[in-house]
Amino acid sequence: MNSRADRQDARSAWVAATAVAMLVAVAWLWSADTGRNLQALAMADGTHDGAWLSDLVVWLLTALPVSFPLDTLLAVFSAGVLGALIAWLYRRLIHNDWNAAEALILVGALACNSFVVSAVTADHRVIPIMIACAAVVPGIRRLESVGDAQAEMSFGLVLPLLFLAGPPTALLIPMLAVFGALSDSETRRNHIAFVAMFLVAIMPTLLVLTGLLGMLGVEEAVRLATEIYGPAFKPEPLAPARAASFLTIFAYAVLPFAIVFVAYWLQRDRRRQPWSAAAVLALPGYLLLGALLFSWSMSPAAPAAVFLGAFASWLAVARLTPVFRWVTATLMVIGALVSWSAAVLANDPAWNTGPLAWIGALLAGLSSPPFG
Amino acid sequence: MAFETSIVREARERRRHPREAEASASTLHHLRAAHLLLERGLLGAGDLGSAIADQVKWKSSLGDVLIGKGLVRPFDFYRAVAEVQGLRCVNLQAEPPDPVLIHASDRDDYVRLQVLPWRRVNSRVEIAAVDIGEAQRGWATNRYGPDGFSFVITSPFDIFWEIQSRFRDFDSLRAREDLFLWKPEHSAKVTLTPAQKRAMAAIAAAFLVLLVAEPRVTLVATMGAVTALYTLTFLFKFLLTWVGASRKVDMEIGPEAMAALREDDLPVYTVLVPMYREARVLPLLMNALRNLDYPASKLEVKLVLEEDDTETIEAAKALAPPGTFEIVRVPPSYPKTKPKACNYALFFARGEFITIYDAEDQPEPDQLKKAVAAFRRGGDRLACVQARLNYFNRSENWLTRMFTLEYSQWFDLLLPGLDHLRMPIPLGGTSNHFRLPVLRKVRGWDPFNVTEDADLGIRLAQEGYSIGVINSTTYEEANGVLPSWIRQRSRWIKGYMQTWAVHVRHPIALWRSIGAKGTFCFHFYVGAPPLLALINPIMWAITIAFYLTHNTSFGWLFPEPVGTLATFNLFFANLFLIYFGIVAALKRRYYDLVPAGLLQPFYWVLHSIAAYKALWQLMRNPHFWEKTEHGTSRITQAHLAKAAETSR
Repeated sequence: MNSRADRQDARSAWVAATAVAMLVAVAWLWSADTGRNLQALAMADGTHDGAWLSDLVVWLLTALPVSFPLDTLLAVFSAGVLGALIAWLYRRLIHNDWNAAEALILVGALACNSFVVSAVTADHRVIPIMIACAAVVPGIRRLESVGDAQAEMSFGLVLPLLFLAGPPTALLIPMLAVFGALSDSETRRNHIAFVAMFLVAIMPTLLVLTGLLGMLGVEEAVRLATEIYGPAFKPEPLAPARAASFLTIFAYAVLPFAIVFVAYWLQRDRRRQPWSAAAVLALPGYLLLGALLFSWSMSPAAPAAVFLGAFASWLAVARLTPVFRWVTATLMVIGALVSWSAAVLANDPAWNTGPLAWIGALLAGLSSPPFG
Repeated sequence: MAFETSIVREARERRRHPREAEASASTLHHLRAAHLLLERGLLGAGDLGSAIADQVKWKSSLGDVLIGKGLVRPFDFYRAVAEVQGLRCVNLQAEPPDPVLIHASDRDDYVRLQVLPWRRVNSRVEIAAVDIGEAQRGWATNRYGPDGFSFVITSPFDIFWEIQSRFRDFDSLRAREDLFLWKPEHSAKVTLTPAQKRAMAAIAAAFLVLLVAEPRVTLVATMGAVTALYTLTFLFKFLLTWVGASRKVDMEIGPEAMAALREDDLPVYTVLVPMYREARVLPLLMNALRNLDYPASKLEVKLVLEEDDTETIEAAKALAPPGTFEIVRVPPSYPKTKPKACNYALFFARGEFITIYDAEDQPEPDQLKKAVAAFRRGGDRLACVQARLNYFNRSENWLTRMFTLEYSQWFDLLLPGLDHLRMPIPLGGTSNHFRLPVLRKVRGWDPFNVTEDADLGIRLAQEGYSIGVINSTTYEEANGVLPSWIRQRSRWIKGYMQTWAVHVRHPIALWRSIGAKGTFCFHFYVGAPPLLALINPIMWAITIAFYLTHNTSFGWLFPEPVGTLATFNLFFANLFLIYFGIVAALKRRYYDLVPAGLLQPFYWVLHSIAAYKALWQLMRNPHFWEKTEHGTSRITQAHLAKAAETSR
């Protein structure tokens, strides 16, 4: 691509991003929900419930030498970050041969998806999990497609994010490290090579753990680990009604996309990378299963939000044929429409006030509400 | 002989074109000379056949092929050439030239054209020459007039020997002083200039005054600066490791590029092998050089030996290397360093490209061809390509494991990272390949700098040249003996200190020549590591004291954000530095080194010991060259035994 075309792409990406960012910011401000969220953030203990990233953002924003109200700053910050991510995704899609119309439809539908809006504006606990899972997918793909030392290193470096995202995702680390070690054909024949690869994958996590141990002190670190990890892996199946909420949202918001992946796995293309595609479905599936069995502290919409993050991340790195692109964009639009009904089901009072609830009700009226 | 017929046919064809007539005449002379040698039993028919085949393939003169492959003695061949041309053949050692005819101003022409004025007979100067071509005739006409000269034939060795003898002191002086005379500010002849000494004294005095007046503030500021230095150095290494870990940053000379190289189109390549008291590893060196996949006729090997090292000189002669191997005897003078010896040998080099190997080096056979391909791809500003260095005896002991990890990180991650980010590259000790004219233009290596290679990398960048890293490895012997390792490492650290001190003399000029990025790289890649190796023991002492005594009374030294940064450095940066070593092992596929990588902090302690030795020596004896002892490895011993067995 020449530099002029690059500049044009960048300009259109930023136009799209700005539009989306403004939409989200306006939605946030009008929803009058920021006060409630701020209160929730102030009450929450980020170390324990996974909302440490939100805590960090609030801490950083309060440290800024400006006199704007915190809720406005938060709104602008969230919208800005989402806008930048959307812009980045748009650029990546264009880079991966999507045309502008396809890419705009996809990013627009993604940004308007109620799970995304909800995650950014209300469900602060899911954000670190979304980020971690979204980072793992390109990591796996690089292992599959490139497989050089940088791919091993980047895969290893994203695994600590799973630890920082909380106990549910921390359990994935050893499994993924084994997967990372097995990704090279030599490691499947040579056990020393396997151990070496495994160490390279797992070491960044161990280094972060060691660093935390050093910074917190052994006693405090052990106490925190017991408090956080003890309850997380104590079997405690969800109540049937709540389990139904999780399953229903997953069935409507995630499963339809499985068609893309099944078709992707079946196609004959030398550039096909099946494991990263599988991870897009497996990661939210794992979270769903864990939430059902261990009553993990997450909203019913969390697996769907994680799926959207991982899916967007996969789209940013995978090259798809035109048919795949149109099917994906169409599914994303349908998914966005359906998600507004799901948001209602999430039983969050935020959606009952302000224009968001109105939009939700309107969309729910247009499409037959699937969740009653 | 089909090949022979083709040569004769080609020579006849070329005769029709006047400009090529001379070349064809030379070809025929060489062919007839070879026949003479064949008749006299000095050359086998099979050898001549294979030489003719190679001559067609390589487009070299038959004489160069026969001599390069070691099939005839050079003097025998050129005596035969003289015979077929009806000229006199002279042995310059037996009948030396008239010194009145030899001029220092013509010295480089003598080497380039392989000519030497010999005698004056009847007002005509007889010029001893290896080949008599257009270039030689042109030079002689300019020098002595159209009728003022005639030619006699001699061998390349005689010319070389005479030039060495005649210009011994002149060349020795140039080898020592050329750089200093050209750009004294780039020479480490003086470690610290008077201005630098004054500046250092002023900084030290200001620090002491502040320490007395405001001890807490001064110490906190110092600790803050040191902490920031650690953090920035770590982040820089992180960036380089990350970039360097990618496969795409490797300057890959793939099979297609190699296949596109035509042997007849390859230039003459000079290989310098500086040695000192390393007679015992010579057989390995010979094997390694013979294994190089490069036309023997286009290879010019200079064994660079000190005049007083008679043991190695005799050992080299005893191995009876091909005629393309020459022994350069470096006269004794101060400083007695490898760069001075290389500068001296540089005056005898005739290749388009030049490289350096150490005595125990085992370069991959295709390295010279890869370097040529890289130069052709890289453009005129690419002055040097650095091959990767690694070790063949990594598993010998803990020290060799650590050394191999370090080299893997250095040459497989950090240097390619620097290359990709277009930053100056401090060259490694051997296997750096140069364009000879550029190397001469920058006056070769700094003979007073004990890491002349790193210094040269920075100087090339300052002169506007670039350096690449190629995907070919030279395997060396890792120093596995602790005292020897400390000596070698202290020299390297001293050299980095010298290099930093030299180039920081004119910081604004440095900035202008290599830009902000290059300046940052220079300070954090060349300047910071020796400094941090010196500071490390102090920081370790503070940390150990804290954890042993739980005494927080010096906590005031680390106010925020210094405290957080220091904790980050201690727990995250250090652990990640270990990780980078492990990634390097992975990139090299040295899986067995991955667990050993966890022990790197103990290796850092050795660095600090060497750093203090280096600092002491920099003050006392800056130009002293700590010789690295080679041949101590068990693997080397085994190779030597095998080589000895084969030669029997």
